[in-house]
Amino acid sequence: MVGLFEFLFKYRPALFEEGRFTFVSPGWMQVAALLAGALLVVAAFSYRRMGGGGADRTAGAERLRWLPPVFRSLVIAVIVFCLLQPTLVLSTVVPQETFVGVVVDDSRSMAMPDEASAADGTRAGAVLEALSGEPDSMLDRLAERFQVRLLAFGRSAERIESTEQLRFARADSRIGEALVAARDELAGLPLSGLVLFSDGADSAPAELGDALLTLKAAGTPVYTVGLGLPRLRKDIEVSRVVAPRRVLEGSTVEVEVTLSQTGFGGRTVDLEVEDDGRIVNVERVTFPRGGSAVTARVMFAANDEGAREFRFQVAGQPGEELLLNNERTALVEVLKRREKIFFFEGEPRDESKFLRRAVSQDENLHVVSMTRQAANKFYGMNFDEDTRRFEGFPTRREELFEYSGVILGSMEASFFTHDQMRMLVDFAAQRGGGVLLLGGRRAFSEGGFAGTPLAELSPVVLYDRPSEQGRPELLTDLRLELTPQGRAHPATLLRDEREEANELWPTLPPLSAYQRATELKAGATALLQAESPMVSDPMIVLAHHRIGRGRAIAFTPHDSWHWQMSADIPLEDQTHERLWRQMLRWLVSYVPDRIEIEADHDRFEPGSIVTLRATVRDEAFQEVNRAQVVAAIEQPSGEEVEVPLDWSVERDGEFVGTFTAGESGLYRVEVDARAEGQLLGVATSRFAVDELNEELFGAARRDSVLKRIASETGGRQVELGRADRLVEDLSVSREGTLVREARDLWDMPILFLVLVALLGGEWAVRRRLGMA
Amino acid sequence: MRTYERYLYRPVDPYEVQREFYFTRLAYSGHMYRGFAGSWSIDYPKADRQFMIGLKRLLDQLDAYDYDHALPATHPELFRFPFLYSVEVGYMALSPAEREALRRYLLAGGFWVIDDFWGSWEWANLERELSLLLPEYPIVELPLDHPIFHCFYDVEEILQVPNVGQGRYGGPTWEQDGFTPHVRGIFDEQGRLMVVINWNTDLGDAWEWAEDEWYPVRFSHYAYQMGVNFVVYAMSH
Repeated sequence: MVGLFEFLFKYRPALFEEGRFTFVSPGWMQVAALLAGALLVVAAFSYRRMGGGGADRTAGAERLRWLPPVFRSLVIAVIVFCLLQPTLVLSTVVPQETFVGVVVDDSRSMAMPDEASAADGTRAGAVLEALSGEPDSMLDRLAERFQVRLLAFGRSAERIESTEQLRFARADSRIGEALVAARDELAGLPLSGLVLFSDGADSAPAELGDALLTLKAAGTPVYTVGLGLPRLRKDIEVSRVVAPRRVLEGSTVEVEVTLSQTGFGGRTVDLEVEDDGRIVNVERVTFPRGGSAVTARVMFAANDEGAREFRFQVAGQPGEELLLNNERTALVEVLKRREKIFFFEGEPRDESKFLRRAVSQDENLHVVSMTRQAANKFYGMNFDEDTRRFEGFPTRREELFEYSGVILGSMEASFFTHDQMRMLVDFAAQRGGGVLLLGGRRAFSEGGFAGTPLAELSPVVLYDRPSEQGRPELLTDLRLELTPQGRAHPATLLRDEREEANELWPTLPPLSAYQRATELKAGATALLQAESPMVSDPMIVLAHHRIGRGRAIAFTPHDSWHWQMSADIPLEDQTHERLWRQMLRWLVSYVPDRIEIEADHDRFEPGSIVTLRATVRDEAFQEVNRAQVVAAIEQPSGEEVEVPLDWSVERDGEFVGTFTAGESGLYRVEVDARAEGQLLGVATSRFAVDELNEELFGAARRDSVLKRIASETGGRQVELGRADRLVEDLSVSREGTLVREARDLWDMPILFLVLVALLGGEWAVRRRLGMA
Repeated sequence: MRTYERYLYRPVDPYEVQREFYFTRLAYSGHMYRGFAGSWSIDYPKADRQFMIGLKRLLDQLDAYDYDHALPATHPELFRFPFLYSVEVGYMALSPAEREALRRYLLAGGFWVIDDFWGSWEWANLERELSLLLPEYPIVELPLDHPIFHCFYDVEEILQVPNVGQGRYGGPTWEQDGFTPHVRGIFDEQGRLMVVINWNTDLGDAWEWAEDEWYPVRFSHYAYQMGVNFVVYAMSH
């Protein structure tokens, strides 16, 4: 496209953008305009006279009569335009009085063998050839007009005397920081611009935008020369791993792993999950034939306490060009602690008994229950020194909010005060807790939840059911089946193997429910459903949705205990235990603590600036801004550093501080929050520092990055070897020592073509009219 | 026809009569009892029905089946009723099939209350049956601070509840050589109580004759407290 433009208009669009258009002979303007006007009048008059003749002309020909004078006028206008001497005035640099910085990517990714123009086929080889200084090389062409300064970069940029100093072995390439450093290095010199030789792989943790703004403000255009292929020919890459930062010991960890590929469409590979050298899961992943990436959901048990580095890897495939991007690690902290869950039950029943029994041996779940036995007579269980005692349902936020999860059994809405119902909704929405609504004859619509704040919690649509309708009808013989979402959800993983678990569900004994839950709320997701001969639509058995910061889950059957208490299920079968352990772990997963501390990533490069962010809340989970927050960082060497965190102002309760992580290894952060001398709480977190090889991921040439750098700084993308364009672009820079240069436009081929077209057009019309 | 079957009412269909709790009496096989075939059915069904009346009044949130309900251990629906009550186990002689079903039932989460048997001879019979049923789990005395004595009513003392005859006429409260009442239990390896044994006492008669003006009210009172606690405990633990 640019080539066609250059052919028609003599110069590239870039020059038109940089230059100023003018006419060299402005004195001719009036004479030319008068002459043009006179000629137009004459032409029009002559055509009007001719128009009176031909009575035999057709109506169509009559309609074309006005065209010849238009064509003739336009021809005259083009000639006048040329006579006015149109000119492009450009500011160009004075040879050898202006500098250009050539910034070369010296990182490992430059050793990739995907640059066919180089003799050795590598990106590095192409750079060395371009900057060899041989006649007609890019460096040679640049040096003819500019003073060239070479710089190499990895994490930052520094001056080099010659390309012999390039090693292409640096672990990372931080393009933004390098360009700013290069600009600083050449500050004070008349600089036409920077020329960046890179594959666009940027491993900087910070966004590129700030660096580009700095360059733009300094008026330093960056011209980017891309290296490598925009797509590798044969490669598999673990592009992304999304894992929870913390899980309870013994939980099923769900991780999303995105695998990208080129040249392996249709291939099936094994994605291995390794925990400390031990393979904990292998997931077979088949790449789609058409697409390039696939996201696999991997689940495995986190059974060992502590900070665990899980490695996700795909074995190298025959012919694969880059193997170092076939693995990634994720740091997951496996916590051994008891998550407190409050189980509020409206009547004695076996479902609640067996639910508690199922999780009673789980050291990570502490289920405190309160069961109504008679009107206003409750039986509380499992309260201990860590839990406040109360009777019935809590009336104070502090009592309820100390739990991570709430299970609401068969309890009618009319039992609660309005404040208690709002508090339960706030428990999910503000505190971020999980609420599990169990089925029962007094739950959901049958418990009068519709029209009360409790209805907000339900992921299924509720309906009004007047109490005078009496006992709700039991829907029996519900055979459960997984929905498509349920087939991949960790809560439904009742066996170690996903396929085995999915096949198990339809074989479990049928259940029954009082709830006619057939409609999901917008935004809710169903994981289990069941067909019933008593209702036309499928019954929703397990569904969930988000409520503010927390979540609510509905499990509508009332007799899952039959999966434990059944003559047909072996005693050693753990289906029922596993169902509830997983359900309750899911309920309290990702529930925020009162005090939290988090680094901005789980892994960093050595020397990175780590931003620590703490959130501080009081017992009622109200954010606290007036607190003294200090993070004690234990470094891998054992040395401890204290970093005070300050209120961020942007968010209530958020405190921020930074720390430079020099040593490689595992760091432990403990944050201590106090208000008015009183300890509010303590929280811990971990992060790892290691060589991440980030630039080897997405190792193909990143044109989008190079294009963005060029466009946001006022530079341009330049093809490797097109030194002429590069020199021309740099020459018309607005920076450096400049002179004016005028370039003629009257001889643009487009003008000639327009003239030919107009004259040809006129001749054709005249022939049609019988005037030729 | 087995000995108990002639006394047995049709077991309830839990889908037909939907309740959260059924007071289920175990119709076990046994020896001849006073020339009478089914020792399991002593005080049946009046004691059961009368207990349910009191139970539903005291535990007004319990969704309980109103009537008596008896099942043999080998009944296919036994596991649907996780609460069992038995009397006169001194005459109990479980068949291998009953033993196997009952063992699975208890280990899966069932709860069995044993009542109304007296003296060392009857204890020996029960002990022998339990040693065959749950050989690896010992029978232990339940201390008064155990939650089963406090989950609804606070029971501070184990009373000996006499049968209706002796209770009405102010006779001795014991039978045979069962002078001291005991509440004993069997726990599984997780410490969960599976069996509660009320030995040298007759809670069933105290329920059955609670309305009798001659039967001492303190025994009925105590028997109901114990019964309610057993149900609350069974449905909580």
